[in-house]
Amino acid sequence: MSSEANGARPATVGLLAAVTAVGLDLLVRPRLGPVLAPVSALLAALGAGLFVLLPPLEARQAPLRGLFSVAVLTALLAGLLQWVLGPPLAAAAIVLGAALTALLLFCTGALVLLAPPPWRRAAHGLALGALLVLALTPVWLAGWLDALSRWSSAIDALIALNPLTALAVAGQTDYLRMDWFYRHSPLGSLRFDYPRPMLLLVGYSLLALALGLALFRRRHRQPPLNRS
Amino acid sequence: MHRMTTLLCVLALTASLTAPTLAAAATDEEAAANATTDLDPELEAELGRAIDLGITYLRGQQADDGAWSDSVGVTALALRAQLESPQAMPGDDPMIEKGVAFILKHVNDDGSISETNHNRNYNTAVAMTTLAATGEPKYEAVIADAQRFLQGLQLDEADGYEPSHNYYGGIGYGGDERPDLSNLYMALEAMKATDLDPDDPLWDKALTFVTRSQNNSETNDIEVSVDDGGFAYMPNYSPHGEGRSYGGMTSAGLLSLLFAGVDKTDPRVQAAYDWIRANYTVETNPNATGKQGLFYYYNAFAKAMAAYGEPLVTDTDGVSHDWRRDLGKRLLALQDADGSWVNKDSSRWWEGDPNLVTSWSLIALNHIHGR
Repeated sequence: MSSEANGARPATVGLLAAVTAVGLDLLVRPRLGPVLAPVSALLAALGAGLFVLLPPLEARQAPLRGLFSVAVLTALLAGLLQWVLGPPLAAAAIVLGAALTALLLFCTGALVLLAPPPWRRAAHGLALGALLVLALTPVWLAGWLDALSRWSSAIDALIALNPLTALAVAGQTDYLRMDWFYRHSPLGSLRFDYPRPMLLLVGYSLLALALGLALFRRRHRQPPLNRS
Repeated sequence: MHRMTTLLCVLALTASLTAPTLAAAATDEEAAANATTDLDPELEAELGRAIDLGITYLRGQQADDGAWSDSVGVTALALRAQLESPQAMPGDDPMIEKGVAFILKHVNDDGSISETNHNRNYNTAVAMTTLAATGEPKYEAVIADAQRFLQGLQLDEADGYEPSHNYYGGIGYGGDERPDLSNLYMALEAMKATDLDPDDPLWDKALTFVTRSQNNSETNDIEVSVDDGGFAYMPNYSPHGEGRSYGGMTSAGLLSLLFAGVDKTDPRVQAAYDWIRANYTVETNPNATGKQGLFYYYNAFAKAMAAYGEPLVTDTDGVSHDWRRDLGKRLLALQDADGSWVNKDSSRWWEGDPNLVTSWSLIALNHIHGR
């Protein structure tokens, strides 16, 4: 698997990711409380994917297949954690949550891997920062949201672009009305609609397809490393 | 004889001196009595015209499917505004029937009445109140299911909350998130309007949350950061800053206490009323940020004052205010030429939607009219 480039066996990396995901879930779940409980497993799987599974790919010249494997593994972790440790959810919701988590990881990973190999570590840091900035838009845009809400589609777009929405929508979690967000952002008091899960699934799938194609074309445009 | 003459003179002098004062006092009381029972006929006529114009506006905004603003909640409020108006729109009015049909189309298997998953409490509660306002017995089954749904939303032991927890007895937006007084008050209003058994445990549990949301150390069993007798959005939290009491929520809190059957002499009711006296105004939502939640305040204030039953509010400087006249004039001043009202300064709590704000204003005016 992808980790071979770093010298670690794929099974070892997979096991490390699984242990990390379980640990993160156990750590995060009690802090999120019952409202965000359905999101905890997905956050934990995404965290394991981003911090454990993705870095070994950064040294590879052709990371597309590896990225695909990492996304599949992340989906499996998310689904298993949700099923075993999460609150009771319908099978469809578990599958949807796992799929959206995997797509989110794939898109983030592809953006990182589109950078030339020497810059990928920095790109990884930037991508993580961008995810955080997007997740916290309700807070850092708090002062402008009331004015922005004159255009209801702007508010809905902002919510649809938030990666937390992708994780929350499968479990029908109203995260904008949870205590912390409501205290720090007026967004929950404005009129909004969460995007339909299928819309998110299609949107993220198209983005993943576009980024995957870009990664594929980049590989074929690059000269072999040993040409000189 | 001389003494008798002196006594008569003193009595006559006293009478002549006190008569104008007594007469003036009688005139004041008479004026107050008039203010308590009747609006100035000219103002009443103006308010009647404003209501007609508002209803005409609303009727022009109804969509083909019977909805207002694509929302069960806004549709229910628009219908209630018309059903309870001085015109007393009949339940079989085609527009009312179409609106009710839209509401009924969104009755869900769990008893909730909502087009969306994340406003289920507000939507269900206002839909119940409106269905009850039609007076039609055929909605009883829908209302009973909705009552059970709202009862299920209340956070209690079944949800893992002990009575000592700050959330206990509260109701939130409907996704099992944190409760707040605004959602709870709407649910209690619906329960009251649909005659939930006064001995139902929901009331006592609700009172636990309501009491804890009041900034009143005398009656609150949790430590409060503010101690002025008003109400915050939830225990020790206000969207206008820290645990600040504000007009909209104090009116909602007072209403909640009265819906739950708390007596007017209860110290919680008295503390809330004293806060209203100390912060009396219809210019703003007192103690809120800017104009945020202004029409929510007008709506809740009118209902709270009507339920409390004192036509004159004497503020802490000793000045008496006829709240019906003051609020009526304020709403007249804020109405747009097309008959609508809208909050031009803030969209929070949907106040950028003229259908919602017009409905709230009309319901407030209906209470001013005494309906």
